[in-house]
Amino acid sequence: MVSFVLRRLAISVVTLIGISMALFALTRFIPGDPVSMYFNPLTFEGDREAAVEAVRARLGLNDPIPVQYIAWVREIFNGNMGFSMITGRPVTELIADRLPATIYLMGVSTVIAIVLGITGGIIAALRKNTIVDYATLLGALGLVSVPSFFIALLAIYIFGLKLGWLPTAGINVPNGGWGDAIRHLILPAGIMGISGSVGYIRWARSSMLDVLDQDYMVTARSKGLSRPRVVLQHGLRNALIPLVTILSMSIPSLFGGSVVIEQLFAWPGTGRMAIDAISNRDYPVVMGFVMITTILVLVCNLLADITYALVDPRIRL
Amino acid sequence: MTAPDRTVAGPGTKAGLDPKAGPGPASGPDPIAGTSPITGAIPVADPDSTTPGLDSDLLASPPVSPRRAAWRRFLKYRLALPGLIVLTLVVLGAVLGPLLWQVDPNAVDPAQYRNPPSPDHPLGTDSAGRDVLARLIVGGRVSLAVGLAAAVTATFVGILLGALAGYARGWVDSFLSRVCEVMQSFPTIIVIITFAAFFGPSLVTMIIIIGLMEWTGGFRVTRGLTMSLREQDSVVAVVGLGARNSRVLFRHIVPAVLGPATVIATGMISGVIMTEATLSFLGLGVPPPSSSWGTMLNQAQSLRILESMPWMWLPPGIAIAITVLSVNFIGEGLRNAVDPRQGQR
Repeated sequence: MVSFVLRRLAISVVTLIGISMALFALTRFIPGDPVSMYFNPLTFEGDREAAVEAVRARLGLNDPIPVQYIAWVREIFNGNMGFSMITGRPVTELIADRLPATIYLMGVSTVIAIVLGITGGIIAALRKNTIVDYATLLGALGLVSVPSFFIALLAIYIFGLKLGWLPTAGINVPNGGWGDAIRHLILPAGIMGISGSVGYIRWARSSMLDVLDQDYMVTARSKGLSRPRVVLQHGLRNALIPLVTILSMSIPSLFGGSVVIEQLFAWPGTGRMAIDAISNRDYPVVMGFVMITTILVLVCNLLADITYALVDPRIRL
Repeated sequence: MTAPDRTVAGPGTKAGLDPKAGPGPASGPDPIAGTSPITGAIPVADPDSTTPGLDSDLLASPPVSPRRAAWRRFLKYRLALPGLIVLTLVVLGAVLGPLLWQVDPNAVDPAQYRNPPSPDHPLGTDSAGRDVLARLIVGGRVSLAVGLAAAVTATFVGILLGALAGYARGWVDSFLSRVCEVMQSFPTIIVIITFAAFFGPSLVTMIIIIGLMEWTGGFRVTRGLTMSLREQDSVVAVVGLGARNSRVLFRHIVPAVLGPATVIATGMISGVIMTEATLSFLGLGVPPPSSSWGTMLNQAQSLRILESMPWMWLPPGIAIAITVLSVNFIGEGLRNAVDPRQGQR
């Protein structure tokens, strides 16, 4: 077990180093020289070239690239991810402000996705090859065929603008209380959850079908237990084991999807921050966002691997 | 299982004429199929069958070429053919549309600012007074082209790396497999957003990045197939005859992988079309002046357009949904066609 965890950890660290190097390399392609931007040629008096050169030397921009990379990594470890080129605030602070909203949205939508998906999958499995089953599968295929931003647009159009039932922007209004926070949450988390439920529906259905055929299910039924009880107690518990895998497989779409949904619903999270930063060419913020996302994705995957190894000993080999 | 066509009886299958046909229909009336009592034609297509009257599913299915069998399995998924038809119509519309609807999609007309649908402009006009229908047709070209190009690129990369990993094995395989795992667990859209941020949005960049990020599906299939293929007698023989590695790879392994890879590529097209639409919607995909369906939807970020000008954003959204849905239907059918075990449950 320990060696398994260490191996996964090593892979994660190597990945992190690789991605950080790639990200650092990307900064070489930023058009224009950030240093010379500090010295406005119209208002600067004196030898501008010399001033730029002096600042470059002081910032270490003339050092070899590997040295610069190591300096950059060292600063990240000290909690310094640079400063926003627009607001001047530290990137770490910006991200710390925005991250809770993103995690909140992702968490709630994952719960919705799991509950919807497992319920739908079990119902489809129990009604195998009936209209209910086909409708569920077709609905799932339909859901993966429509981009979530279009579903979101339709939802905003119908529930927000035409019916006026739900707010379509922001996380809450000041002093709105719980009811308000939930009303703000319904559309973004609901859409992310419904889009995310497809994987769980398909998996829960096939997993349940496997389990329903097992001998112990017949045994449980023949003991005189009611069907719902057999399905929920004996079936579901065994069908749920690989949930962790599906959960870990949904991580990429969760992180990718939150960027889009946050943008549409003016959700004050890191995804919206990233899109704003891109349109403002605020490179330090973009880099900080990518680094944090990478770390979160790697940590989630690592946790999923470890949990799965705990549940299923065969994985550790 | 596809039931063999029972009514097609080959020539010479008349009972009594066929010496091997056993006792004939009198002793074994087929209760299932329509045995004609007059001609006595046994509804078994294979003249060699010795057991007329029994269920002939397993014993005597008509000889079917693998290609035909695959086509039948493809049709077995009932939405596959409608998907194929709809996709063909969409592609034809995008390719031939400008001939039928000869309105310049880039003709700016301030007098036609955001007009609702009218006989002159069946889908209305956009913020620059451009005809939405014409833009929908041209946008479809871009969306479909990006989808196809990126999916082909990704599949190509996947086949190359997969064949390499499966053939070379050892550390090459371990390394590529780890990279594949990492790629799979990383959100593509974040990577593309990053590149778009540093290089600015561009069609070619987008295709290349999607191609470089989405090769994992093709990789895993190709790697697995290559591993088993290289142990096959024919390949071992070719190696024994002294063929070079590159020859073995490109003459014997890659061709065998192309079929399954097509399925992967098809499945990918739908995802890529959606990724492109999402990026363009966010303003990070296809840069102006060219436009895709996603770019057209970008306007709907304005609440005013979203609320009162649905003709500007509903058509491209519906077009994306229809296209992706039909590609997915075809993909399900293809999966059945390639893997007969699919679709059984």
